[in-house]
Amino acid sequence: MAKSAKNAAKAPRDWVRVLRRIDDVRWELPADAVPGMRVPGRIYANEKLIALIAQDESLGQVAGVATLPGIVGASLAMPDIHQGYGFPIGGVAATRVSDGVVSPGGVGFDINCGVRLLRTNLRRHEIESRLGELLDQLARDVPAGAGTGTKAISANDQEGVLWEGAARAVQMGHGSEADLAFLESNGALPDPEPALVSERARKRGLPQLGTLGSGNHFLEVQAVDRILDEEAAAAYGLEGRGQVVVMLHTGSRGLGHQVCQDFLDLMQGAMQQYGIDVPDAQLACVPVRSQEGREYLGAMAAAANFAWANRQAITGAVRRAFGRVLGVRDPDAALPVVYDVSHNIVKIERHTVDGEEQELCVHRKGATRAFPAGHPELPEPYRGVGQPVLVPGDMGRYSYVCAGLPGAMAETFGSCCHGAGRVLSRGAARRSLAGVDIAQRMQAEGVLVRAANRADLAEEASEAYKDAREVVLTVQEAGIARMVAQLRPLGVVKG
Amino acid sequence: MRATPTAGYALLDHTADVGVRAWGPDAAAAFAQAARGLFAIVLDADPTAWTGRGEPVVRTASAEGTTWQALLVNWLAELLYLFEVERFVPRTIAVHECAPPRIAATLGGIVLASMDEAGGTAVKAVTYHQLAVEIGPKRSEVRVILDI
Repeated sequence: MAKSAKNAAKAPRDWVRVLRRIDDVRWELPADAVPGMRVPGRIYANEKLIALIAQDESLGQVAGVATLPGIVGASLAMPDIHQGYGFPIGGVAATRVSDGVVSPGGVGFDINCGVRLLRTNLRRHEIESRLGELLDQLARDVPAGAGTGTKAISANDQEGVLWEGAARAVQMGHGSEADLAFLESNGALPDPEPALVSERARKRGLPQLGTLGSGNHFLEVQAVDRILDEEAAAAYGLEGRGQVVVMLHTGSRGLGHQVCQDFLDLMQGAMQQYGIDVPDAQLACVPVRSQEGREYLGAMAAAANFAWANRQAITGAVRRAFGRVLGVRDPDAALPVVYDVSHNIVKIERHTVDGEEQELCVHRKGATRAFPAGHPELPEPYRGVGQPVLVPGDMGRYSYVCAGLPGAMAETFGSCCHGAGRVLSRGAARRSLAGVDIAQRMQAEGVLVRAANRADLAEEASEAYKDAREVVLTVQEAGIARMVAQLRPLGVVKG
Repeated sequence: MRATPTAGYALLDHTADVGVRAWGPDAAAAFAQAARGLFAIVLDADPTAWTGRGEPVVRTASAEGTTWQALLVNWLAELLYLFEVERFVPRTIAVHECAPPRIAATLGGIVLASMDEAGGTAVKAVTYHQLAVEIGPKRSEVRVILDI
């Protein structure tokens, strides 16, 4: 207990008293709660989650985002929100392109960090005896953990992945053309500016194509546990209990980290020039239409494309591993992509605000796009049911596939939650689980683990996260997305 | 309670990230201690006491920043870059120039035989969040949050 005393020394604000309850799953942070807020904050949470959310400075960060010039509607927080740096993780902020700002902090260092789900025709009992072998192969073929990758890629392909994203990785032999229709934005943002990706960013990141990274990134072999919406599940190719699926979570690796670092430095100076003042330097921003703003968007798009190429390269490796260990034939066809979502990104989209359609810069920082049925950007097979929203939970319990609902367009700029959200800091998780062998405990519970760094596993243990079920129940009640399937982990590869 | 040493660092809890508080008699010492804290996270051990396999190397490093804050962020980002791209871990840090717009140092360290030698937590980047640099005549202190 004494150890946490120093954290308690700085008395946190009692956020629950500042909030105004709208209904069972919506809370408003009034625009006069903190000086400088231009719009109110709106938090999606049930009573249980709001108590957890109010424990740290997440809500102060929601207020900070509300001060950004040109922000419209509200500074939004999904039920998985937790304290980040500057922006909260689980936050959505839409700014007017005409006179608003773009903020690299609203995307984060891991540009286009995201989640991809592959499905198989295999049943759980068909792989169980070979699962250990499969995980060993996956851990070998998809390097995880700190540091550099080892793969040399040609100068041509280096440029190619920044311009074309996942499509270039397909040309390099990872996966098939058919995959691209099932990736958000078809796996490439328009108008990338590879020339604005610094030499340092390239040196750091390009050798890391096809690697997972560390922290909360993972590759999981999972099984469908429950189907919760038959129609959408059928459209997504999710057939029923026991079906084996593969979920992976990673982003743009060192390349994206360096692009963000480079632009944060640039914006510290540029911000003053535009007379913008923000409550936290990590909220650094410039007008969308300024030269620096355009440059950031171009470099960010190139980094986002690298991330899609990275997830595509990993997809190729996963399929080859299934072929080698389980004898799966034509693995490109046997493990199709259900969907691929980005949850750290800024996109130019059109949304209706106060009855008027506007061009907006939608920052999703730990938030997933969630377009409803009928949206023209969805692949044809999903147009009748809505976009798959992939919501990984903690590695010990369950993950969810949801489907975007009209409420997302009406209220959240087409956005939804992205995960369970942390409840314990990494340090607190380590302390409370000191001496516990997490890999062994998970194995006893039926989940095999391969971890590059076993010491870090405690930081990712179930106790460190909110219950993902509470999170998705909340977005469902709010009409943002509905639950389609619950997935259970069988084997986990971690950094 | 022990007396606070004249120069040192401490790691701070932050929900999804980790922080470093570092101090010393002057800015150069505080910045050197911040770098030591960064590598204490990367190695999961104090770098001065750390024994990892690799080739001993002495090298220089520098960074620029127009403000103290930017100088600190860019200094740590530079070391992170050298670690990720060249696998260089500094074990001794002699900062000989430290005031905006420039920091320059001589680093004694190791080029790791493999990244697996670093047994700690990968650091993605250096943030400006809650960044603090207090430069005083007798004591300087910094505080920085790292994205992991």
